[in-house]
Amino acid sequence: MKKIFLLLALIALFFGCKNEQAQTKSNSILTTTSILGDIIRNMVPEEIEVINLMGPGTDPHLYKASPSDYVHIREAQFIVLSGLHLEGKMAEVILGLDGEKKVKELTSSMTTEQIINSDGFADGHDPHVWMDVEIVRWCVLKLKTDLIKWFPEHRKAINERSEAYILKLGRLNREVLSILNEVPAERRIIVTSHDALNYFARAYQYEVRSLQGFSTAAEFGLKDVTALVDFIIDRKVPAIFVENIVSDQALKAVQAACQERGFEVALGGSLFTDALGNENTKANTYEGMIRANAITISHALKN
Amino acid sequence: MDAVFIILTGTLVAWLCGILGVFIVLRKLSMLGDAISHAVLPGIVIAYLISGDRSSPLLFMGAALFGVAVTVLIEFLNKKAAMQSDASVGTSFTLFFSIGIILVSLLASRVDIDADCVLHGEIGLVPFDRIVTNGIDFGPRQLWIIGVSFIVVTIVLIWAYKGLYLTSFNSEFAASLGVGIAGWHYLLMSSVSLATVVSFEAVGAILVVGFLVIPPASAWLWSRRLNEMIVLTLIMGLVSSVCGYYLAVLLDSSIAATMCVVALIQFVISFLINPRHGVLKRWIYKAHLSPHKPI
Amino acid sequence: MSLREPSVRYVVLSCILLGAAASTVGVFGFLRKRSLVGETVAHSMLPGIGLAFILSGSRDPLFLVTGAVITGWMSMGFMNWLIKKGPIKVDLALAITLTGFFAIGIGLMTFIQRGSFGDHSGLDHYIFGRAAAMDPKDIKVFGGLAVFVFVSVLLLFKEFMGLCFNREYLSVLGLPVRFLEFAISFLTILAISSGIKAVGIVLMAALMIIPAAAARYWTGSLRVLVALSVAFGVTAGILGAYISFQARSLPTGPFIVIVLAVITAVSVIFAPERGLFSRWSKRRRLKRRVLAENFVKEVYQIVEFGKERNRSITKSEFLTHFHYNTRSFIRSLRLSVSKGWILPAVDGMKLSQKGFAKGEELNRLHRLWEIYLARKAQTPLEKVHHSAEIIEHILTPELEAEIRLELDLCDNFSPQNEIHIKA
Repeated sequence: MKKIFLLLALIALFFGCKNEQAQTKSNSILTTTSILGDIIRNMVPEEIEVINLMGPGTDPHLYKASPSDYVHIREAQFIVLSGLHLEGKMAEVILGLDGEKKVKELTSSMTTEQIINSDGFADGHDPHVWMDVEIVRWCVLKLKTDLIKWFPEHRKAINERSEAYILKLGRLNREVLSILNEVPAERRIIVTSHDALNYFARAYQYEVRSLQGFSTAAEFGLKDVTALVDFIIDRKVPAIFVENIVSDQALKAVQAACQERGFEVALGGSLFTDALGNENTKANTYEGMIRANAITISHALKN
Repeated sequence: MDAVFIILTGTLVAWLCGILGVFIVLRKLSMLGDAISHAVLPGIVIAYLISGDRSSPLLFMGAALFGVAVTVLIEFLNKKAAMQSDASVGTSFTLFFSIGIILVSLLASRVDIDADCVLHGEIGLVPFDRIVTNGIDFGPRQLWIIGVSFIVVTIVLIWAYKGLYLTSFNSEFAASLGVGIAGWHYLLMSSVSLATVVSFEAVGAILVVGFLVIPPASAWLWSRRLNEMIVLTLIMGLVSSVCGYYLAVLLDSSIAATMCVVALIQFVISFLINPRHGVLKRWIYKAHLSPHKPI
Repeated sequence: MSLREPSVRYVVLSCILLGAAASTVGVFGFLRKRSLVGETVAHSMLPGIGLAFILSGSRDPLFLVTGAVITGWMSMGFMNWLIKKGPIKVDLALAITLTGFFAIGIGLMTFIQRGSFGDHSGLDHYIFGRAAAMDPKDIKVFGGLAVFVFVSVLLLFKEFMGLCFNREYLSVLGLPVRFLEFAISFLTILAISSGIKAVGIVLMAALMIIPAAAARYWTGSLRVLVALSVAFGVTAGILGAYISFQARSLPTGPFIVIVLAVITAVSVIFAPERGLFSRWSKRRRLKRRVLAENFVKEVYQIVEFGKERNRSITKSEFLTHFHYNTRSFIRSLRLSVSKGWILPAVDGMKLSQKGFAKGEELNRLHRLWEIYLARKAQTPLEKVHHSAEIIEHILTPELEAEIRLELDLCDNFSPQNEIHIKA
């Protein structure tokens, strides 16, 4: 019995040992998050393939790679990461591949003033930079140079598309600003369950309160809940927002508590923070996502 | 080549955890792997606070330390406080884990500590993370770490074989012989803690707990002696790793999870057909004994 | 902590109800030595969540919980099958089930992630809640759960206990053992699934293990065990909530576990009879009694030898017969004096009335045991003394009477007439 098992195992191992010649894809860029994928897609011409590891609705913190993803990583010649440790361990490993492959982080060109840090921890950078359109424009501008270096034969096309995209994002930014400015100053408070909107808040002059920090491991406590309830009632916050990838249990509890104390706060809708929305929704592109968020926020808060 | 490295790593983890798992299973501490995977959290957080760096080796040491600490607590509760072993395990790891969550929330609530980083290693990333010095590529880092760990643990176990053997099967007899039961126990527990923490980083907690328990369980059903059980565990670990990998590629699913599932399938088959305890065998036997057939 | 604050009320009430229900169900798990079933079933719910999501296409908690309950149930069945049909022990069955089902769950999650199922991340976070985020709905759910659990346990208390300790007896009595197993499993799954939705895996597992484990130190009565477990579970819920309310970023669930751990520590150390302190002081008392008894017996032997009951003995005379270092001599002397067996005399010490009787009793018991071993247990004569040295301290009057009966000795048995071999 034992011998049969052993034989089978050795045969299987032998098959694995056959030297597989990994193909390398020289005409494609591998990206990680769906948001990043969309951004890059808008920067490069059709001839360059953009492969995206995380599909829509995938939380980068919880992402688990599969064998085909590893094949993608192995085959890729050019990889773009979001940066600031968003992709966790995978980011570390991929950055280690810089050299045999070309790896770049979207956020690598950001200055220290642009990056939002968390108190006391030098390594603790907030990675949710894409919530600020201006920063994305900046990063796209800087990244364009790298992409041109990678694909010199497409220089013109990349330049054109990237510049066009930068203009488009500029228009998007103005549009979003005007939507968000419809909300009077005292109502500009976004309450969510998880801390992903710091860049947004800074860029568009909003205040953000959340129940939990960045980390998925950290937990909020009873005092945090009551403090948030007090805050909402104090400042008469009209609506609170759920995120598309986080459970709404906590927010519903906050809402119930507010209600019992006589204050009706609405569930203002779902915000897209760490990933794009589904294919059939408007939030399936980066622009769509930002716009959808702005509309959701504005609509809920201004009334 | 990537496939070979992944399979090799999986096999070595299976072997590393399996040889230790044999003793764990025999001592009725099968839930220890799961307990350790939860209990290391405070160690990681504290190490992170001290080092401030996500990829510091201090994190591993912190985890290992707390892995050993939880086994000490379990042993204390079980032996000194006379608490039944399942409750000892449950109380200890939930306590440690809760301490970890409090620490994360209090001190690192503004940081993506990503304790998952250390615990949920990804076996698929193994081929990409290599040791390269002076232009020479020595191969995947995790493979080396696990390989060395396996050799060290094997040497330790060979040296400790008699002691562990005695204290696993008949501790009263061992005690009457004057064998230091506690010593062997702590040696085993420390080895398990270190081996599991090392493996967590390479392949993730789920696969470690699986390899710690399932192949030894399958092997146990087939074997009559301890050395048979160990050899069978090694073989079954190898099969799980190889078949698990290819099945994962076929299904395009998590490699670690699939390896576990293959190990589980091996176990279920063993459970059904093995000659001594097999369910099917007894079912057929019972059918033969049914009153309608003359014996 | 103000109960006027609605969130506080939600959390405290929910924790009380959940704590009570979970601890009760946990007692049965504890008694059957499968406390970790909570942990196993919780992890086994993952594939159910994945399947429910795939089949229903929605993240509606109702679907997800249903899926979770189904695979949770299956995992219990699998585990029981392993235990029943094979030589697999409980802990191994739990570990295999946990890993197997959880691995399948992760495989499913990866599969979901690869397809375009839309917002699928953190599905398990939809199921694994946080204690601080309870709302009025939870109070209702747990209220219902607690009522259901308590009523079931009250009605079927004896039967459940029988199931834990003596299954075969129950089936001999004609009771529906299968149904009872089903009932306990059902209660367990019910508690786990509703509990996890609110407070997450680890707290749920802890609530099902720790209260019972701690309560066990205080009592051997099953009813008291359940009552005490409930008390502990509820107390931990309230105190944990209170502590987490003191400052920001103090998560409620983990503090409940900490309180449970403290309760356990107190129980382990201070519980009468089974607690460490109690056992330690009993041991200490025994040691001191043995020391004193040995001492008084030795004094008796010296005195008796010369047939002078009231003779006083000097320390040096004593030390010629028996080997003591100064410290142990002083200690034994002190202990004997404190028990009233030795009195200080003009030039040393002498036996009191009580002391004389004690010495005689010890001597007698010693000889009795030697005879018993020699005659009934065929112990070689060289070995009987050593055993008697120990046993003389623990023979009760009832035991002595029994031994005399065994040996057919008359009532005024006098040890002098029998052989006494010193080792």
